[in-house]
Amino acid sequence: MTNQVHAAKEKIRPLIEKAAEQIVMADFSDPSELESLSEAFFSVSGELGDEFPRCAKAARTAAEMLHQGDGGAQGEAAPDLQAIEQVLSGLQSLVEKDSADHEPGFPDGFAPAPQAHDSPDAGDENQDTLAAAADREIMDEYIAQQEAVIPEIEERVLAFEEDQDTEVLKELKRLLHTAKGEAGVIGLTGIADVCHKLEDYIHHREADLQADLLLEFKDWFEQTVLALKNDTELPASENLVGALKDAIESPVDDVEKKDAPCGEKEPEPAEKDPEPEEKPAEEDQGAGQDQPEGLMSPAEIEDPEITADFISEANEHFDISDENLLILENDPENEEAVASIFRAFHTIKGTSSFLGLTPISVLAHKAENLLDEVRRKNLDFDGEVVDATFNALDLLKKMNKDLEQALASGEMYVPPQELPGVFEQLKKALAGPAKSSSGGDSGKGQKESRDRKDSGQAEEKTPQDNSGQPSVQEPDSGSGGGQGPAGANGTGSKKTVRQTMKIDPDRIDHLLETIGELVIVESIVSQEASGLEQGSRDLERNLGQLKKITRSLQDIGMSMRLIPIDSTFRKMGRLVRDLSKKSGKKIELVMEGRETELDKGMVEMLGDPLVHMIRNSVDHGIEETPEDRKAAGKDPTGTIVLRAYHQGGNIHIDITDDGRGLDRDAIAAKAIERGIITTQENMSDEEVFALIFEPGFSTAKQITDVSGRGVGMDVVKSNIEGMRGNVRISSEKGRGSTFTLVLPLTMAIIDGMIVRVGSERYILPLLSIIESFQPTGDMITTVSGKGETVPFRNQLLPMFRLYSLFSVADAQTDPTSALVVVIEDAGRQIALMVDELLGQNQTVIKNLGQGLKDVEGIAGASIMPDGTPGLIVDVNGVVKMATA
Amino acid sequence: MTQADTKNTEQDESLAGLAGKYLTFLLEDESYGIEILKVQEIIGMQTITRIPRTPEYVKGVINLRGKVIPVIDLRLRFGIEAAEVSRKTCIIVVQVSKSDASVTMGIVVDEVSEVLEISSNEIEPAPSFGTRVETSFILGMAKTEDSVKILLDIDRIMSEEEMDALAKSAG
Repeated sequence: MTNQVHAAKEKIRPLIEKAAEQIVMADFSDPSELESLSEAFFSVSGELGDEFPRCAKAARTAAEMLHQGDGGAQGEAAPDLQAIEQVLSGLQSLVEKDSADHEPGFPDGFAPAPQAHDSPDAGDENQDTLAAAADREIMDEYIAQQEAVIPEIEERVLAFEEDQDTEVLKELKRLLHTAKGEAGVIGLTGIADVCHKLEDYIHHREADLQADLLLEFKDWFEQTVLALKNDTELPASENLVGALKDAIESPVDDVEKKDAPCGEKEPEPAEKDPEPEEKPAEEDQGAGQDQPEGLMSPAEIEDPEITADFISEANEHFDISDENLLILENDPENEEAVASIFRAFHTIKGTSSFLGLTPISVLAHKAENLLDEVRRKNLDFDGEVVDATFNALDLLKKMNKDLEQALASGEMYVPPQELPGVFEQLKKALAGPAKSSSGGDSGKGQKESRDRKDSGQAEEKTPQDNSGQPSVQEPDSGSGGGQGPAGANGTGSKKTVRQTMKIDPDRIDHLLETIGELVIVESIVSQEASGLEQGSRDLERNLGQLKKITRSLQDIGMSMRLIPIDSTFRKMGRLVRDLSKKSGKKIELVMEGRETELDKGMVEMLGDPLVHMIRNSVDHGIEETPEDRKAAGKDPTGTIVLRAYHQGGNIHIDITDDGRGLDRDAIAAKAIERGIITTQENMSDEEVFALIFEPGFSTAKQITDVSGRGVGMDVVKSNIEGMRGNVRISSEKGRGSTFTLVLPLTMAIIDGMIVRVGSERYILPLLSIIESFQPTGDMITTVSGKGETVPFRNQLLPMFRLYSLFSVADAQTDPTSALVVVIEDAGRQIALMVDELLGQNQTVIKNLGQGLKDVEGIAGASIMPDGTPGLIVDVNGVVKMATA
Repeated sequence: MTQADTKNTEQDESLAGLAGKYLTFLLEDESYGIEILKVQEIIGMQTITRIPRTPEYVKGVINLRGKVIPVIDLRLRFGIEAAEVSRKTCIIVVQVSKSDASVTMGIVVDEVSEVLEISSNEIEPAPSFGTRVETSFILGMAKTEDSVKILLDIDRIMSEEEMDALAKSAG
């Protein structure tokens, strides 16, 4: 007996060693490797035979799992490598340690537990638990996050109860929205549903929110998170959901009937909630099993310096890949583009694996495999392959960003939870229908007809037929994007490479700061010299020369920070593509002026607002279906034009859609209902349209996951104002709308009008000044003893005295000997009374120093020609102050 | 009693850490000291641009070689009556450390006296005046030959909360 046992052990030893080697080295997207591993397990199982029934069973189960897994086409039953590794180490311990059959530990479901020899076969249930275990880490992270959020929610609720501050409510909404999203991501649909419900409640009943209900939610949420943490049964949500539902539906004068269906629909999923902890297990099953846990666990950043280089390098590769992917979408045959993306993935893979960033390198590797197939013409670049590649690229970008953050904060790098899902998708795409290697005409023909049928996918056009109008057009492709319709010549991505130098941004900022000081000193010296009685000719000439050089230095300095807006625009191409796929609308994005240069910081800051506005245009602007458009006499394909250009020293960015246009009456009605305005009479179209920027304002009847909560436009406005720009809207009902972002060339310089108020001087941004005039006595009308108005272009504008807003003692108090400046903010005009205009200047903006940043009505300071600081008026703040 | 003892030793230790060089200056007839390492430079009085809607002791902002820095009047901050600007009035530019960064700020004083080396045995804890006198920004009191200097914790003269609060209260 003992001899036999030993013989069996000796036989399987090499087999196990080989399997161990394979499992470490194997590429699990390769079916043949899985198969050979599976065979190894089978033979181990055979050798163990009767002597070790339990271990043999475990080995067989593992083998079967691997065998099923390589049937990859179905994809779902991907083997759980971690479990298999555990089986292997159990077997190893059996061999090495001379232990008996019942001793090695195997994961659940692989072998009967030692005490219960005849437990059932490895079933689906057990796989669930496995998946759940793999998810545990993600779950722990989620729990930790939510634990931090709960007190914040409570704090907001209490603060809101105290003084009904809408700012606080907005913060609360944001918290809820985030909580909903996070719960949704990890599959806790129960929580997500309740959050959604509560959002609805807040949305509908903003006027009479019951803090009790909000707190009830918080308590429930807290209990739920606690239950998740302790793995106990989750608290029931029916009562809460019921209460929310009642609250939404309880009669109040101004509850709209149209919102009711939206409210009724919801409880259904929420009521299924009692055991939401099972859901993540089910939903993430495939994902959780796909990869060994090692991939998903946080990794230490080993070499910060090289990692930092990697991050910036990777970003460049991403940009290149993005561009080439878009080319490929229009021209799937473009080999150059495929090769270039392939190279990018390959480089990322190489560097990241060298740095020990396994998740990144594995993902890059898989994406590379997929593209390799495309390159070898075994796969068509369409449908699934496109999506998988895009997703892989997106995820890589996200991982790179995470990595950057981890590096900055000195923390461990945590791989994102989407990773397994993308793996899955890549695998599916790889296993997708292979085309005949010749790639003959028949294949192409099929592909074309398939694409034609797919009416929802606006971007999927066949470039062979109409390469003249690819869906992402750039009629104005200048220096920024030299890749026209690449299909035309086949070598689209060749362009002259300009030598560039990487410079630490801090140094550039320092240089600009120093130039700024030089400009100031220069103007002080010039002013002093001009005051001299007997100025010498030479001095004058030299000063003139100095001025010229200083100005050109300033220009060069500024231009160093300017980059083409192209990089931000490029992202929009991608966004429109995704949105149009999602919404089933056919949309063409036309981009013009991609080469327009803008301050680097601004180009980056523009990303968010543009995303919101484009989403808005897609979701609300363009008609629901191509048929709707045809009925309105328009091209079934909607067009969104993104155009950047210079105008009057500013940068304008237009987002134009040819959709439904804004409905003035609907907006006004909503605003009246919300109590923002009392009547729409006397309001210009632009003023009415500007109401959509009010926080929480949405006329959308249905809230979708794209937009409708009314948060987006608020974000747009605050971001644009943060850049000292403004947004203008023009729209014609039924014909479409144009949103124009007007931005200063750079955030560092302001074109200002210096005004005097008493002994103080202030700078008004030229951008917001419409006109100035001296009022006559009969123009000023006093309203109920307090407010004053002046007529301006057939309108009565409210007039405010700057000296009283800023409490200046010695200012001109008689309007008829003062000046009125009409300023505009977000479509709203007011008149501001000042003593006189002193002239224009262009100066470098400085902040007021730490801690004084938030002075109301003041946006910053700037050095005046005489060397003293002047204060820049924050027009938006003043309008708020005045009308508060 | 024992509690008081431990408190005393703690205080002694913290006071020992206060020894070093101080820049001393006058406000009215009181003498104050700031750790020399916090002082960036001393500049003459210059035109200060007033900032609306801030408390009175925030004098405004000045242009320090192209940088805009806030200036506060220590007299007003300590509740002493404002004084005429004299030839001796000047602005001490200090580096105040805030939780995340260092902030450059100017403080207006009547007259700068000298730089003094103060040893730990000369320093005593700030006396308690109850709630009537705010002592949170006093590090300690230094008895030198001729007078008593009040050693200021410049970081706390304008605490972050205060900065925030003033921005809000002003609005």
